[in-house]
Amino acid sequence: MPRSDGAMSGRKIELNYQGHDLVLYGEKALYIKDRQTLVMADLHLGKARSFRARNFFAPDGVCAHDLARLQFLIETTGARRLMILGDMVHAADGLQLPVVEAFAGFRERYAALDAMLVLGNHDKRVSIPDSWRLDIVEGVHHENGLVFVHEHEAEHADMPGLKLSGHLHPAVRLIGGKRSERVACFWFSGRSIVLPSFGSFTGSYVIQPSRDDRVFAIADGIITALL
Amino acid sequence: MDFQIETWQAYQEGCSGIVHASTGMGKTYAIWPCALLPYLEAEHNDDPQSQPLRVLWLTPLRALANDLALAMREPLEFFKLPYQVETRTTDTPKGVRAKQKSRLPFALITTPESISIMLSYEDNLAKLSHLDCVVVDEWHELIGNKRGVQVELALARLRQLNPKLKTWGLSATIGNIDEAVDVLCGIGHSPSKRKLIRGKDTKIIEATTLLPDYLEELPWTGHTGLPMARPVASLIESARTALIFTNTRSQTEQWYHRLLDLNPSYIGIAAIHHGSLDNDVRHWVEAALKQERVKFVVATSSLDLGVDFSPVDMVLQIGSPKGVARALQRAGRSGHRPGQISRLHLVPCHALELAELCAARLAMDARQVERRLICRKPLDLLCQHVLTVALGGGFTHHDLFNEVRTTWAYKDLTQDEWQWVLNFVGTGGQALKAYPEYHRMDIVDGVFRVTDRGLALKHRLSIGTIVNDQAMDVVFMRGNRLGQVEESFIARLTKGDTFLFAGRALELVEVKDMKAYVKLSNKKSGPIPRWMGGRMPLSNELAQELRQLIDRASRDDFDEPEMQLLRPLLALQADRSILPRLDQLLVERYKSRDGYHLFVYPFAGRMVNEGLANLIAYHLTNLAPNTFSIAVNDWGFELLSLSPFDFSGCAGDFFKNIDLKDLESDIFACLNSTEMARRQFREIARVSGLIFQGYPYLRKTVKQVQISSSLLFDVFSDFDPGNLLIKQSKDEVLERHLEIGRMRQFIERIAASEICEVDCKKASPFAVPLMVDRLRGKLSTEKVHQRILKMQLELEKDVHAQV
Repeated sequence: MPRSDGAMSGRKIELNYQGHDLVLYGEKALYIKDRQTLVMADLHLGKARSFRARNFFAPDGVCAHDLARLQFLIETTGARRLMILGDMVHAADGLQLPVVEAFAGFRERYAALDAMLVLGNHDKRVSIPDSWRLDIVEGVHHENGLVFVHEHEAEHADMPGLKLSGHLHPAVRLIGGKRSERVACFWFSGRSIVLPSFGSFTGSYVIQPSRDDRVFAIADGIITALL
Repeated sequence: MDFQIETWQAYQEGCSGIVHASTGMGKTYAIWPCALLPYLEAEHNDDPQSQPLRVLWLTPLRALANDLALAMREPLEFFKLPYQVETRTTDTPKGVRAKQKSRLPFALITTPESISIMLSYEDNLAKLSHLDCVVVDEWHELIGNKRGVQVELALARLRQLNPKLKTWGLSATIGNIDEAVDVLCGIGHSPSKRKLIRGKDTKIIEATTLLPDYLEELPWTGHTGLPMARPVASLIESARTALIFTNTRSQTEQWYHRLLDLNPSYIGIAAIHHGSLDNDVRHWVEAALKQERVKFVVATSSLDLGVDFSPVDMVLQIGSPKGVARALQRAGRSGHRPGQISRLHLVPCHALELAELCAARLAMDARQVERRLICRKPLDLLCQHVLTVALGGGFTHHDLFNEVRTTWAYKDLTQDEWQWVLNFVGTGGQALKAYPEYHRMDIVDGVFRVTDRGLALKHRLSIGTIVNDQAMDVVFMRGNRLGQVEESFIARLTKGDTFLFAGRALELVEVKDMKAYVKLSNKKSGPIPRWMGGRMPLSNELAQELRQLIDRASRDDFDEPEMQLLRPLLALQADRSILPRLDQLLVERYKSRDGYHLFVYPFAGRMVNEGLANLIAYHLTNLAPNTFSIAVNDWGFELLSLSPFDFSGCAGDFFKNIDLKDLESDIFACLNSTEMARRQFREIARVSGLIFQGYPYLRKTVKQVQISSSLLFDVFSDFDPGNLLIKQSKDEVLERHLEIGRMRQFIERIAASEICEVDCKKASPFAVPLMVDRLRGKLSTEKVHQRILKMQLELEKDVHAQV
C-alpha cells in the first residue's frame, strides 16, 4: 500500500531518503537539495538522427524538447550542478552538428553550472564534444556518502553510501479494470535509486520491485508514489 | 458443368473476372483448362523449355500449393502437354527455387508475398511480361485485408508489363461479390471485359441445432458449452470423423479434455488443432485427418481453410458461429466433394444462444452471406510497395502514381498523400522539412531507385502484411517444442504456475531466450491460456436475422424448433419486459442491490454496443457527474450506477440527436481509443518498414535492440502530428475494431424506430447475461496520471500472496 510522504502525487515529490533530502520531478529527474545537484540519466541525445542515419524514420524535435525540459528543471531548482548518469548520447552517427550545437548552446546559457557525466555504455563509443564542457568520469563517482554510476551492478552492492544509477529505463505495469498501462518510474531499493530515462525517445523496461522497495511512477509529467 | 463452359467462353473473349461457387465445386477446373487452351492448338514444334511463364496462380494458403500443383499437372499429362507446373513458397525445395532464378516454369503457384518479392528484382520484370493470366485463389479471403491490397498492387504492376493480362479470381460467395470483381479487375478495366460467373449452388448444406431435451439443461449464461458435452459425445460416436469447431483456443483445450474424460477410449485417436500449436503438430493432425486416423479433432479457425479432409463426415460448431460465411465455411469442411452433403451441427452454450443458432441456420439456408469490408488506401502498404518498385527497376513520380491509382484500394489517392508517401519513404517526413541523413531512395533523372544493398535485403525480408504477435516458444525442458503463445500471456504467469496448452497441463519452469520452458504438471486445474481473438462480434447479417426471430416471437410465432424450445424463456422475457419488434429499440430499467441498471438492446454486435454504451455513459456523465460500470455483449449493453440517473429525460432522445459528424471524435474521446491506435500502430510500423523485425537467423539479438512501435507511436504523435501513418492507425481502429460504419447504420436505423422503455421489477432474461458478465469496464475520461491512483500495481497480487 502507498505510504504517506507529504504529497502523494504532483509535479514533484519531496522526501528524505537515507538521510538525504531529495526532490523527485515529473520531468524524470531528481534533485539533491544539500548538494544543489540535479541528477538525470539516459538522455540518448541524437537518437532520432541516429535512426534516420540507419534509414529508419524518426521525426525531429525530440532533442529540442528534452533540452527545454532540462532548462526548466535548472531554473526551477536553481541547481548549481548537473549530474548525468550516462547514456547522454545515443550513438556516434546521431551526434551531428545540430545536436552538438544545441547542447553547447545550453552550456553557454548556464555558464556557471557545473556539469559532470558518468560515462554510460552508449557514451563510450562516442567522443563527447569539448564544447559541452563536461567533467567526465568513467565507472563510479563517490562523493560524501553518495555514489553516482551508470549501471548498478552486483559489485557495487557493498559500497557504502546511497547509489544513484540509470541504464535500466525502469517502468512498472499498472493494471486497472480492463486497462493496463506501462509507465516510467523511479525505483528505490535499499541503498539504490534507479532513475527513469530522461530522453523522450527511449524505451523502458518493466521492473519487478519487491515489497520493501519504493516506486514512484510518472505519467503526463505527474509523479505518484506507488509503494 | 455450365459455369465452366461459361468461364471458357469468357476467357477466350479476353475477359477477366471472378468465378464463384461454394468449395468443392471444381472452381480450379473452371479456369485452369482455359489457360491451357491456346497451347493445345498450337504446334509443338518449338521447344517447350522456351515457353515463358504464362500462368501465375496466387494462393493465400501455402499449404494448398502442393495439392494444387498435383491437381494442375493432371490435365497436362492427359493432353500430353510438356509444360511444367511448379510452386514457389518457403516449402519449395531449394534446388527448384534456384532453378527458377534462371528460368520460370509455364505455370507458377505462389503466395501474394512471393510475387511482391519477385517484383523487387529488376531482372524478373522481363520474365513476368509474357503472362497470359493471373489466377487469384480464395479471393474472398484476401479482399477484406491488406494482403488483398498487396495483390491489387502486384496486379497493377503486372498489367503495366502486359496490358492484355487477364485476371481471374476464385471466390466463395460473399455479400458484395460484385464489388469483389471491381477490386480484382481494378480501375480502367472495360466493363464489357469483366465477368462474374456464378457456379450453380447445388451444394446441399444441412445445418441442425443440437437441442437438449429440456431447456433447463442450458445455463442462462456461459461461454464454454460444456453442459452439452454429453450429447456431443454421443453424437460424434455416429461419425466416421468429426471436426469440432470452437470460437476460442482456450475452448478447444477444455472441450478436448472433457470429451476424453467422457470417453477415454478416444485417447490416441483424438487431436487438437489451433494457431499456436507448432507447425509439425498441426501437420500431423492434418495428415491424420486425411488418412482417417483420428475420430475427432477439436479446432479453431485454424482449420477453417486449407486442405481437403475428405473423410470428415460431421462438423460441429460449439457456440454461435457469429457469422454466416464462417458457418458455411465450417459446414463445407465435411462432404467436401461435389454431390456430397455437408452437415453442420450447431451446439448452444447458453439458453439465449438457441436464438442465435436458429438465426444462423436460417441465414445459412438463405445464403445471407456477409459483406467484406474493403480496405481503403492503407498507406503503410503503399510505403512498402514504393520501396519494392524502387528496388525492382525504379519508377518515376507520375508513372507509379498513375499505376497505383488503377487499383481499387488507392483509386482516390491524392497527389498530397502520394507526395507524403514519397517523402516518407525517400527522404523522411514532411514536404518542407529536409532530413539529409535519412535517405532510402536515390533520384537519378527523375527515377527513384534503391541502391543500398543492406536496405534491399532488409526490405525483402520485411515484405508482407501479416504481423505475428510477439510469440514465445513453449518448450519442454528436454527440448521438444510444443508451439507458441503470445509473450504477454506468459508474462502474466509466474514460475510454478500451471496452464493448459496443446492438450496438456503444463507447469512453467522458466523463461529464457524468448522460450518458455515447461514440464508436465500433475495439477489438473489451472488458468487456461487466453489468447487474442475469438471475440468476433456478431455479424450484421446474423444480427438482422436474430432481430427478425425475436420480432416473430413477439407475435407468438415459434415455428422454428430452437425457438420452440426457448419459448418458456422468451415468455418470461415478455412477462418481465417485452420482446422488441423490428421497429423497436428495447431499453430496460431495473434497480437491484448493486445499483441502478440500464439495459439497452441494439443487437448490433459487441463492438458497436460497446461504442454506444460508452457514448451514452459519456453523455450522461457530462450532464451530471456519475460513474458507470459498463457491460457489453452482442445483444446489448448495461450501464450500472450507484446513484439514480435520468435516462429518459435526456438520453432518451440521445439516439435521435447523435450528430453523425461528431461521432468519430466523440468515440475517440470516450473510449480509450488512443491506446487501441497505439496497438494498431504495431502492424502499420512493421508493414511500412518503420521497424525491422530482424533477420530470421538473428531473431533473438535483433529483438533485444528492437525499438517498440508504441514508443514510435508516442514520439510521432508528439513530434510529427501530421504523420499520415498515425492517422491511419486511428482510422483502422475506428473502421475495423469499433466498426464505426455499422454504428452509423444503427444510429440511422434508430432514428426511425420507437424507443420502448420498460421498468423491470425483476431482471429480464436478456439482462441476466449482461449482469453476470465479469468483464466490466468503467467509463473514465481521466488522464493517465489520474487513473494511476486508482490502479493497482500488478505486483501487489504477488505481494499479498506472500503475506
